[in-house]
Amino acid sequence: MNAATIITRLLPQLHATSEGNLVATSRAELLELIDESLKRLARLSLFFVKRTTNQNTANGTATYALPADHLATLHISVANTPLIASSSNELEFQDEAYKTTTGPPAHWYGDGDGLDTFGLYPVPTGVAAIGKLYQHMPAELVDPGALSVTMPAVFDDYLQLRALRETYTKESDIAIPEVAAPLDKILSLYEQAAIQLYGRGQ
Amino acid sequence: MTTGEMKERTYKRLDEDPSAPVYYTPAEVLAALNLVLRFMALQTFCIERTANFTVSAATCWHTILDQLSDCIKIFRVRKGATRIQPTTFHEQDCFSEAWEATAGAVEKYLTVGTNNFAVTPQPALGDTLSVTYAACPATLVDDADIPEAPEEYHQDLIEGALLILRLKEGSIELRNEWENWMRFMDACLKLATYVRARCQAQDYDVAPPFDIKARDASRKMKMTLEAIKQEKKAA
Repeated sequence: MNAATIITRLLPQLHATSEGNLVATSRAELLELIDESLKRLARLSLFFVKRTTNQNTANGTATYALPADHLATLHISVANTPLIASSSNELEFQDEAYKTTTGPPAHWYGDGDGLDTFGLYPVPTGVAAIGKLYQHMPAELVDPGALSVTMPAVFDDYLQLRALRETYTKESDIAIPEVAAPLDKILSLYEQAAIQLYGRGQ
Repeated sequence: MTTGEMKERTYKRLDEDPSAPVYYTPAEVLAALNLVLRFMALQTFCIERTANFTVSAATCWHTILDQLSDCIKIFRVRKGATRIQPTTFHEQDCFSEAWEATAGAVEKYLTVGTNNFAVTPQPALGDTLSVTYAACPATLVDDADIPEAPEEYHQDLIEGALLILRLKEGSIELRNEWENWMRFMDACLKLATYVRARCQAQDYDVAPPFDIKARDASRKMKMTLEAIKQEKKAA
């Protein structure tokens, strides 16, 4: 997906021949709408999932920071050994000293110290790569440098139609509120497709 | 039907002279046809392709779209005549603690999200798998291009494109195209039913295409537009 291409496709639908003669909207505004639509897809379904191994365990460290774009964790492994998803309650029931007991990690928990950390139990004593598979928020679209996102091309139209819907339903000289109803139904088909194909967002 | 023929017929339906259109540019009509073609491909999985996928040496996780840029969803994976079985990471966690780092010929695969593809075991020297998948259609560019959707549905693409083109007009012009959109959706439903039966016969790994009838918004939309019409009359 390239947001610039989507904007080019939107121009005739917005009665414009170029970005310069857009009425009641602008390139920046359209980019914001496309960005919001992308993030909506990211939250609704497991559309954007990535696996990273750029974080290592540290001796005696129980909790680790989650990535900034993290939405929900799907799977964690340490040194390619999958960990069992647990909770603080469950681990505390097993071992009151779960935050300090050392050993090869066998469990991970995400409800320890806030929304942006996860913990390992037992606490690792060495250095090993942490493999995190997680649902993530796509990077913000930044004009002009970062307007591309890797995704199936069929969903570019979802971004285009949602931007069109939002532009025509806001209060402006070119408002056409009656497009909201048909577009909402078409857009819901795209969203249901994303959920059915890739899973519901966590 | 070629793209040129579809554009010409679309113009006639819009009451425009195809040789000298006034309100809709050829690029606009082409974009609308491409949009509904992609929509049909997503809703019905009517475009199926088989291509090679290279598994890197001793690597579990790969990205699909780097090699299969038009992939929507994987139907089936094979290594020669051998079927590679689908699995999930939860299932693999139950079978083996070392599934992400086990050397050997590929036996199972899993997908997560739009772009993650994992294999287990991992071949030490890499391998090439044959992947059958639901694909995005090739973009229509030239008048001689032929849409990849089955030919009997080309007329329905025109029906769907009419609504997309009329969106910028709203009001009665948009309302009048809704019946065309319903015909397009009915065609998609029919095609999806056929593809679903074909997927089941082929024993593909994924669930058959979703039942768009259950989510068919066209009938609800008709009621919504009637309500808008009544409101405007009352006002």
